[in-house]
Amino acid sequence: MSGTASEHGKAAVRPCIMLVDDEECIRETISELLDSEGIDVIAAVGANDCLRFLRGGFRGVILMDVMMPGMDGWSVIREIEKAGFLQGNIISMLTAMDVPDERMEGLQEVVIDYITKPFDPPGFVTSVRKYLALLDQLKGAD
Amino acid sequence: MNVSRRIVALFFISAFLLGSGVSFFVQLIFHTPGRHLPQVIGLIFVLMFIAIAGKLLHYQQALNRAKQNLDEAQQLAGLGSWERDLATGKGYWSDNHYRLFNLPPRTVAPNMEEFFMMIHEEDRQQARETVMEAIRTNGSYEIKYRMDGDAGNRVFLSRGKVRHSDSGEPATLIGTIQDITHKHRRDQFREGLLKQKDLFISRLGHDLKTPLTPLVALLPLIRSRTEESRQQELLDLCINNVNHIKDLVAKTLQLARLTSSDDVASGCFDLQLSVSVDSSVSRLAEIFRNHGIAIEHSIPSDMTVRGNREELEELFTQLFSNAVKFSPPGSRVTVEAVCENAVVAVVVRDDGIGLLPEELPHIFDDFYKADHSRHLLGSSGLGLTICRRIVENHGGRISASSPGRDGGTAISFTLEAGGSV
Repeated sequence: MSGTASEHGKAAVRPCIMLVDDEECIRETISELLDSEGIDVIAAVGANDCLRFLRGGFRGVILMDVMMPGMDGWSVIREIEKAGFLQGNIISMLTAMDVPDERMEGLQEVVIDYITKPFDPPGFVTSVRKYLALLDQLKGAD
Repeated sequence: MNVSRRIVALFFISAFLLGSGVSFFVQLIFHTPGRHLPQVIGLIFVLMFIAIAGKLLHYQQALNRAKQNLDEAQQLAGLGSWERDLATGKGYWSDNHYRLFNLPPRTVAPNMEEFFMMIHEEDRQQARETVMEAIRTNGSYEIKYRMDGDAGNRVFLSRGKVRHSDSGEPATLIGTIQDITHKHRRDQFREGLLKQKDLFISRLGHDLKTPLTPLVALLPLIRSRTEESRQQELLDLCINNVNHIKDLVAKTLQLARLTSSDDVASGCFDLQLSVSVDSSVSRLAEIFRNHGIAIEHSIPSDMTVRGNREELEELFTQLFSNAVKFSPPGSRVTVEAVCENAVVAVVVRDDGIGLLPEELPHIFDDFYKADHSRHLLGSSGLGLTICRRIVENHGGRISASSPGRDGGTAISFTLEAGGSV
C-alpha cells in the first residue's frame, strides 16, 4: 500500500512510516507486510518523492534504501538535513550488505539502525514497531 | 681483519722487506766479499717481498672480483647502495646507484641537498623530513619517491639506517635504493582489481538479495492466508528452498568478502574470548532452545585473543550452527580454550553425527557436504569454509577430528593471544 502525506492524515489511527526505495518489488513487499500488521506505508521512489512528503508535513519513521541510482540513501539524508527536515524523524537504513555502512558514522543521531535484505518478516515487523515506539517516546519527551 | 686492512698491512711489510732486503744485498755484495750469510738473508727478504707482493696482487684481484660481482648483483636486483658521512657530508654511491639515476659515476656522490633536489618535487618534502627524522632519532627509514624529470616516472624505494659512533652520535647514514616501478604498478593494478571485485560483490549482493526479499517476506504471508492443505505443502516447499537460496547467497557473498579482505590486522583488537562466545550463543539462543541442545563453556574472562570482533563472532556462530544442525536433541556442545606460548587453542565439540576418516580432510573445502544426510539438512556447504577463511585471516590454523560416525565432532583452531583488556 502506498500513498501521500495527505492520505496519511486520513488514516490517523494506524501508524504510518515512509519507505524510500527505488525497487518496486521492495515497496510492494514492505507495504503488504506492514499493512497486514496494521501499519501504513508512504512509498517514495527516491529523493524527490521523499522531500515532497517531508514538505507535506510527514515526520516519523523513515526506512531508507542505501543503494539507489542517482542519489544513494546517504545523500538523500544529507538533502533532508540541508532542507531542514531532519528533526522529528528517525531513520533506519535498508541495505543488502551484512555490515553497517561506514557512512553511518556521524549520523547516529538520526540513523538509529539498519535492516539487511532479505529480512525475515517477524524480525522486520518487530524492528519497525520498535522504531515507532521510540518515536512515540521522543515525541513524549518533547 | 678485513681484506682492505690486510692489503694495507701487507703493503707496509713488503715496503719494509724490499727496502731492507735490497739494502742488505747491495751492501754485502760491495763491502764484505766472501761473507755469504748476510747475502742469503738479503735474498730471503727479497723473496719474501715477492711472495707478499704476489699475495697483495691476489687480494687486489679478489677485491676487484667481489666489487664486480656486487655491481652485477646490484644490476640484476635493480638495486644500488650508498653511504654518507654525517660529519663531513661526503657520500659514496655504488656504480649501479648512478646507473639507476641515469647519472655518470662520480668519485664523490652528490651532497645531501643536491640529492634532495633530484627528487620529484611532490615527493621531495616528505623524503627530506623522513631522512632528517631518522638522523635526529638515530633510527632507520623507508621511503618511496620519484626522480625529478624522469621520463619513465619510475618509483624508487630507499631504505636507510643511521650508524652511530661509540659516543652514540649519528656518524654515518647507509642504505640501499631500489627501482620498484614494476612492483608499484603491479600493486596499483592489484588494488584496482580488488576495488572492482569489492564493487562487483556489492552489486551482486544487491542484485541477488533484492529479488529474494519479496520471496522471503511474502511467501510466509501467502502461506498464512491459504487454507488448502496441498497448497500449504507446496508453499512450504517453496519457502524451504527460498531460505536455502537465501543462506547460500549470504554465505557466498560473505566468503567472497573474506577472501578479498587483505588487511584484517587493521580491524583487530584485543578481545575477551568469552565475550565473543557468549555473543554468538545469545545470537543462537532460540535455535539451541528449539533443538533442545545445551551449550557450555568455561573460558576464563581474562583470556584474550587478538581478533576482529565481527569475524570471531561469525566464526563461533557458524561453528555452533553446524553443531546444532548435526546433533541430536538433548545433546550438548562444549567450548574449551587454553592459552600457551602466546597462542590460544580453542576446541568446539559436539555429540553429533560425527565424520568418517575419509571425510575429515575435505570438510573445510568450498561447497563440500560430507554425505547425503547433510543435503537433507539444508546445508550450503560453505559454513566451515567461512570458518577456515576467518581463522586463516587471523593467522591461525583450523582442523577437525572425529572418532567416526555418531561419535561427535571436534573443531580445533588457534588464534593469537591478546593483551589485557
